[in-house]
Amino acid sequence: MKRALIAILVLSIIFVCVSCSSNDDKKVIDVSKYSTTMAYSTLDNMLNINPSEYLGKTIKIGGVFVRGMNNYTNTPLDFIVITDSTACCSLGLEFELAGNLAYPNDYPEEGTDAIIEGLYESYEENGAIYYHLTEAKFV
Amino acid sequence: MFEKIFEYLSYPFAVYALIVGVLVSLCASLFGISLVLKRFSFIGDGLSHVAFGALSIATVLKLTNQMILVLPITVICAILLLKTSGKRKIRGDALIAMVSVGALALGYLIVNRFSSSANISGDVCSTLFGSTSILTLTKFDVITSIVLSVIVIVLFIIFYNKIFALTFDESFAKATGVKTEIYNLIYAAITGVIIVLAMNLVGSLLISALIVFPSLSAMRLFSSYKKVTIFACIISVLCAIIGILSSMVYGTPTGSTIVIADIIAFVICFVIGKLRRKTV
Repeated sequence: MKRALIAILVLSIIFVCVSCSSNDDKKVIDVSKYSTTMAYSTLDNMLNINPSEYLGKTIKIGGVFVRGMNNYTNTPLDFIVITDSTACCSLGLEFELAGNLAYPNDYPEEGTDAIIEGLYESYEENGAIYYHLTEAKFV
Repeated sequence: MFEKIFEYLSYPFAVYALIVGVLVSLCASLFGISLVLKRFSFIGDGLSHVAFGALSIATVLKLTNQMILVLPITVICAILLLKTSGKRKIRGDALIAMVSVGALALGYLIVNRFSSSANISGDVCSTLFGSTSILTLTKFDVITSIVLSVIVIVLFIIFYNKIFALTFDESFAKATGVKTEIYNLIYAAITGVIIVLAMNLVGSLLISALIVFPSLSAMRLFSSYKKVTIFACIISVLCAIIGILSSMVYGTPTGSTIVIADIIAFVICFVIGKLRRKTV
């Protein structure tokens, strides 16, 4: 009986912890100040695990600025890339700058650190859903 | 530092990591004592490499839920490795070594040849060392881990006396009518489950630390099986919490930070044990 009560108490605590934790009321998520472990984990959750939880929020994120190419549309794509604590894994968050900014004059040098802030949104291309920052600006 | 911790814990994935970390480390420490006393400390390594091999196959097959393949294969291997048999030609430690390196090599080869991932070495590194795996669990992973952990803990409580008998004198237990074959089977299956759960926490290469260190730390201070069990659980859970929170705050790989916390706890217990024996 005593053991059953202890088990019920522990399960209740777990249930309360799982239910209470939420970042629904956060409008701005500043990942740029997080440790590498937390920054990478947050970005992984944003892109792969639970992207819907972050849609519509303003994200501020720091990493290495990288310019890539969209092979389907042959247009350039801009990314902020961050690595995990072991530096063996990396994730890139695509962004679109607000306004009429021109590359390379209005951009940092590729491969250098940069902090970007923008609205996290999704878009569809060739039947797949992608996520990026829109109305972004370098901070 | 505490402000940062509270901010990080406002994310559901951070809370999930703590909950799963606590439960998995608790399960590992509960069964780790018997494994250490039965000289099966390296079973964690062996089975985790088997799980890595199974995970590689699941990745190449693009399974949505990799647990469907990883869990049964690991449990079956656990049963084959831990099942006591006098007719076995290859002894326990040699068998574990064979299975361990074989599965690791096969797993990496399969991933290398057939995986369509853009970063194979990154995926492998993350699985082996558990740098952020515990912080990137899906809701399904969390629920599965909680359910399996609760089942393991309940089974430990129910079979506590049988586990005690099997650990210290299996022959006597068999002579008194205990169905040792069945209990060994259950014990092996639970070990396989714990290994699969622990892979998310510390990665494949460091699982043995979760099994070995809490038990050895507790044995430095206590000699009663019950006290060792309770203290090993407390140490394991505390080190998991400290390891996860430290890795979040200081940006270190989660798996190795937990193991370092375990090592520090062992050193402290070792020193205290030595001092106690000197004063007695």
